[in-house]
Amino acid sequence: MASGGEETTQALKRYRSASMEELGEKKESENELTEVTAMNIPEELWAYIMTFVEDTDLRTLCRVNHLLRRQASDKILWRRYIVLRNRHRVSSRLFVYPQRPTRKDLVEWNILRTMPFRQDDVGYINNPIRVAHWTAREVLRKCILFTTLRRGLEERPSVQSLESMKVLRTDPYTALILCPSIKPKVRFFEDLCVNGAAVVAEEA
Amino acid sequence: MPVVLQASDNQQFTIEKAVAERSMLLKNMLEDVGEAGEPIPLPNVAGSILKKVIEYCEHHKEDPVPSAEEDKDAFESSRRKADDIDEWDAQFIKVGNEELFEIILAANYLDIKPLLDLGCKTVANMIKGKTPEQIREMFNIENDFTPEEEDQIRRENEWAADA
Repeated sequence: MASGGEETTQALKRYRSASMEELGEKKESENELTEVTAMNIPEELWAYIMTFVEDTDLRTLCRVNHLLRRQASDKILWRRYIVLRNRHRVSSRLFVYPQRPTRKDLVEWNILRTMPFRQDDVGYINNPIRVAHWTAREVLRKCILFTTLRRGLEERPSVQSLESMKVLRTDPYTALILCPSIKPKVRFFEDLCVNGAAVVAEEA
Repeated sequence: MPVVLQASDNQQFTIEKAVAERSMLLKNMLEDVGEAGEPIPLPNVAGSILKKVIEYCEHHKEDPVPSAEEDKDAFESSRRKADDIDEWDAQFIKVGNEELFEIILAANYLDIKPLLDLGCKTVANMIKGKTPEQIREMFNIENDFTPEEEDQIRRENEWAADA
């Protein structure tokens, strides 16, 4: 019991000597700065105060001075407000998976009639990969169509050869109107019906 | 068993153990040291401030001690608001700026979390809705931005000023 008492006294002395040393230090520092002001308190206390300040006031604090600017523009502090203010965006289920009906759903609702042959790539309608595939396929198809059309036009016999083969029996001027020499256009998406008349007029 | 506290200006305060145990620092110290009956020196706390802190602890000695788990939850949740201060606390903390910051320092040193929260909430409430100039005036803060920095900060904030 007595040894226990001794131990406690020693422990208290240890505490006391440690705090006495601190006291000495404090007395030295007290000569320099005696009063406690907003800027004297440790920076981590400001960091703690910041956790109670709302974002609008944080923005104001950024404009006060360097210390408060540093403390008020802390990323972790802002993260909470950013999440809070954009909750409807961040937590939207649209980010989890697209809220569009699949082709299967549309078939079930009797909006579409058929399922595609290959079932494995059934995504939702207008999924970007499908759209890209479709666009590429259409470009290729038009390209091939244009090439075959031009080759066919080039192989067509001219008016002179038709006359020499006794197919046509008109004078060249009338033949030109009847059978104009069509130049294939370089741009293959132009509408032939619209510009056809103009081409004829030029030839004339 | 009463506990004796000694402030930096050698003022002594005799308080109940339950009151002293609001402070985590004193609680741990008492657990380690046992009840030696000698005054505990608190060199970082002035007598007037210690008196205030003891007043707070005596009023709150009945409160349940918050566990560390709850603290974490309170920080994570968004209900970390500055305006839920009860009436007695609000009256208690109506002090001058210097005293307020001294109380915050003492609460931090003595590790009394509810008092530290109270002080910080009060500071946050003082800041609320003020302009930078008003805040500088209130806390006696020097504006240490150079003119160029001021200009840049103003440009950053132009969109907010319009609204």
